[in-house]
Amino acid sequence: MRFHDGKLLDVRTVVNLLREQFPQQMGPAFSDVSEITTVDGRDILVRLNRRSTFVPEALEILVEEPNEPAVGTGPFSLVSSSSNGLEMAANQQYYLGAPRIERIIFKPYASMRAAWADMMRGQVDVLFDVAPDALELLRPSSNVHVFEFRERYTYAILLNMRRPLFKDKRLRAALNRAIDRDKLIADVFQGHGVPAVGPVWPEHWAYDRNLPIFDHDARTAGRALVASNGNQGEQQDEPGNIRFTCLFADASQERLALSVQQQLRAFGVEMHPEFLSIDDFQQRLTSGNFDAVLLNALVGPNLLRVYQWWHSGATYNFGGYRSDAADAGLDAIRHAADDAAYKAGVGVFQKAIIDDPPAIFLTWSERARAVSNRFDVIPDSSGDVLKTLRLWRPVTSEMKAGRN
Amino acid sequence: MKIKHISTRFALLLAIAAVVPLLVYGFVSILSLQRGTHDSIVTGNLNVATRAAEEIRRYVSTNAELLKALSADLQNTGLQQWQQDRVLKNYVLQFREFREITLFDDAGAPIATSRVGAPRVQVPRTTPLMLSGVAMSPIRVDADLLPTTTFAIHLTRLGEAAGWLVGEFALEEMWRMVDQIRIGTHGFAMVVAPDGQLLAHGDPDKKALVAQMRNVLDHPLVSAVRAAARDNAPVSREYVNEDGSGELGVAARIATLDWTVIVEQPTIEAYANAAALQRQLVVAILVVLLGMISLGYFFGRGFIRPILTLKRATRDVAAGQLQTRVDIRTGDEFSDLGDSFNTMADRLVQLQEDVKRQERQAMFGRIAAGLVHDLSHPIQNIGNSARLLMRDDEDPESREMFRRTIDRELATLTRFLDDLRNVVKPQPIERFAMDVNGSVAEIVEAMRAEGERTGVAIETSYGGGPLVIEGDRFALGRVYRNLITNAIQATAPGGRVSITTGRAGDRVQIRVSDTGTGIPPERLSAIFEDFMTTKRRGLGLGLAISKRIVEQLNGTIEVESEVGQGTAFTLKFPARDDLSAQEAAS
Repeated sequence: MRFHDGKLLDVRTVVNLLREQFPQQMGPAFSDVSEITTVDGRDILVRLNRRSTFVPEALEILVEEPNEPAVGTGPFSLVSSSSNGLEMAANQQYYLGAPRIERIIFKPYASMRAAWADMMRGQVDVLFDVAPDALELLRPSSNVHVFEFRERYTYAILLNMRRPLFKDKRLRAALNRAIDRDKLIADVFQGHGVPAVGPVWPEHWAYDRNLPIFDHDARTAGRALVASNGNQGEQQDEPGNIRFTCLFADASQERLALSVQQQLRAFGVEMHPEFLSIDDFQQRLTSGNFDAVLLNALVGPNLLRVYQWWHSGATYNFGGYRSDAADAGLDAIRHAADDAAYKAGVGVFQKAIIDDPPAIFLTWSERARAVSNRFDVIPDSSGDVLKTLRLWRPVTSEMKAGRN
Repeated sequence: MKIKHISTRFALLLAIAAVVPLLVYGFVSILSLQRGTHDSIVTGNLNVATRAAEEIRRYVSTNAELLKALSADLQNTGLQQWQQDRVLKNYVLQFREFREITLFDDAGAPIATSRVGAPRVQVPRTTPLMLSGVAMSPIRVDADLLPTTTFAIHLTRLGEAAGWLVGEFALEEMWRMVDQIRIGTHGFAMVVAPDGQLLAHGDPDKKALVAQMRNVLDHPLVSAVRAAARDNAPVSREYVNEDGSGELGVAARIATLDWTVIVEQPTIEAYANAAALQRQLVVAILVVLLGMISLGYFFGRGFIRPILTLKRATRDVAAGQLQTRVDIRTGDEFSDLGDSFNTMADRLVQLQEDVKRQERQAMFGRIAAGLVHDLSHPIQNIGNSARLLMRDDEDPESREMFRRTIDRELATLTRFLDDLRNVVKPQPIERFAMDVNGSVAEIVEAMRAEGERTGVAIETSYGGGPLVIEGDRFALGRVYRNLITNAIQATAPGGRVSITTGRAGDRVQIRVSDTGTGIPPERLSAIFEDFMTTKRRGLGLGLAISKRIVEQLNGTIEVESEVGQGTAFTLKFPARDDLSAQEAAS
């Protein structure tokens, strides 16, 4: 295998990449790895301190040429990049065969609807994401194919455990029970979504459907929230004994934020949404300077990502969440010797999160890609057609005639 | 084109009689169907367009009223800023079409907004359209594609300006309403702004036109609606769209907004059912037409079969097959006609037998009379001469004369008998090269005495050179004698018989003419038949025998005659100059 510039990707480079990225990729679980070395010209040895199920999952690393961060080995190579987007060209040397599409231009849009508008104008061939309210209008079009699939992303409001307000796990659990996820999905996503009733992707093989979930329980939530001291004693301009600010950086999430705000308000919780630029948002998130943040977090399909979000000291545990029970569950998953142990670990973790939630879990995303019928798209088992982008090919007039 | 066959005429008659009304009915039905279909579709589509126009008007007006109600809530309830802010946020969550609602003070500074961040809307500077006290901006298609307008309500308190409530209103629901309008498979609705801008299109593949801010002011229905704007009546048109296909469109105007709702459907689809019915009707008419023609043809054939039978029988009778009879048992007038035909044929046979019998009787009479006439005179002369010859008082000269008379009459009898024999059994022809002049002269000289006896001059003119033919001297001598005898007998004393010979091209010609009585034209064609004569005596065999002999020698005989002027017979034989030497040697 070679890099886009023709240089050979050798085992030494891979070992270095693993050494660089494994700590970030695995977080605290990297302690399971004692050594990464080359065996010969083709084999790499990852020596472990102890059994780790996360090592295979952590192999999903970014392969970049040393000192040339834009040079990789994928089917498309970067040609140019700017704030207006980036351009990629087909990698004719790709080891699985050169892509049929020669050039891809990625163009950023302020909103999904703006991108959709450009697609309708014939200026865009592929929409990375189709807004739920555009789905009904795009789906009947014979010029566009819409591919819908369930994502491993979850909309969640990450709570900052460093804030006194959220130290009470009963309050966090009550906030989760205060949310009517079905209503959210209906009002915000026009029915396109799945309620996020726990931290584990419900289609994961180890997900235990028999454990308690975050179902909407207004009475329990109300009692718990009323009993909570919340912000009492602080000066208030607005009513509500529990108040916090929720940051978000994606304009398309404004309606979601307002809907959550409205739902929590019914329980006397005043969530104040605050829109930030992506840079400000990133800075506030990583520095821990927030009450809560609205995220669309990738937490699947494997449980390493879950580990990275919710294990104490993990890479993405921006809220400072720490739960011995959750850690125990995640570590059980991490060191599971077999499927039963793995599943048992998942169950422990699920229960721990239900009892002591680190966030307000909202919905699992359902996404849709839209592709112009100028392309013959190869389906993928995951439902995400972008995974087969390398195999797409422009539709000839003969192919169109055949389809008709 | 003339139709010759009665059966065909009959079939056509039946077809026309039966099918013309059917065709007329079909034509009228098709016309009615087309007109009815058109009216029905136009009426139905107009109802759809009118209803859609009303729905859209109500949709916009209702939302304007909602904002108006919100403004009343905000003005009259003394809410604090945070309360106003909350109300606005709840409003945009409850009413999706409002993407933003912001309350401004009279100076244009925002007081409260549904937005999480800074408001995007502004206080409008102009108010082109007022809708129940709500100012409505022109429709624009924003970056998010949806046609969007801004509602603005100028707030007043105690008669003084108290600010503005401005809401950004996305007509997303209008898109859905328009999307739901589907006429057939390819009939869609669209909404057009007063300036011709396309606001919504129900065809999923044409939504791009909205995004492209397509102006459709030149659409036939838009211009028609604008022209009819005064009476606010919906209009309908058939036209060809930009793709070149026919469309049936109707348009209804939303008066309060000055928008136009157009519902159009491809004519090929709109009239598909009518076209199918029309095709079925045409096929039915053609099938019935074909059936009627076939039925008429076969029925007509059965009907006129007796006529055809009679036609064939008549032809057979005309061809001489008098035994032909018809067997027609239709039991109607054709049976009577068949019986009449058979009776007629029977009568014809009887008449023919009568004619034949009469002809035989007449022929026998003529032959008997001819025999009596031709034989009695020579026999009488022979008898008289024989009696005189037996008398002793006659001198030798007279006796010689009587003997010659007897010889001559015997020769006449012999010739008469030869003629009869020749009729019964023609003598074989022997061909030799012969000189015509010589053979003719021989006979002429033999006949000259007869001419002198009857006072008829016999003139001859022989052509120069040898006129050699291949002939039978004795048979031709009989021909010459017959012709000259007939000429002498037909010529009154003092008259003249001319015999000329000569060449006529490659043929040798002998012409015997007289200045006699001539032959009437009506009898001229029959003079060469057996037993046909114009004379009062004779069997009428001479010319028939002569013609037969001439034709046996490859010659021809022709006659020209004029009553009172005379008759001329012309014989022509192939000249055989090549046989001259042979003839000379013989």
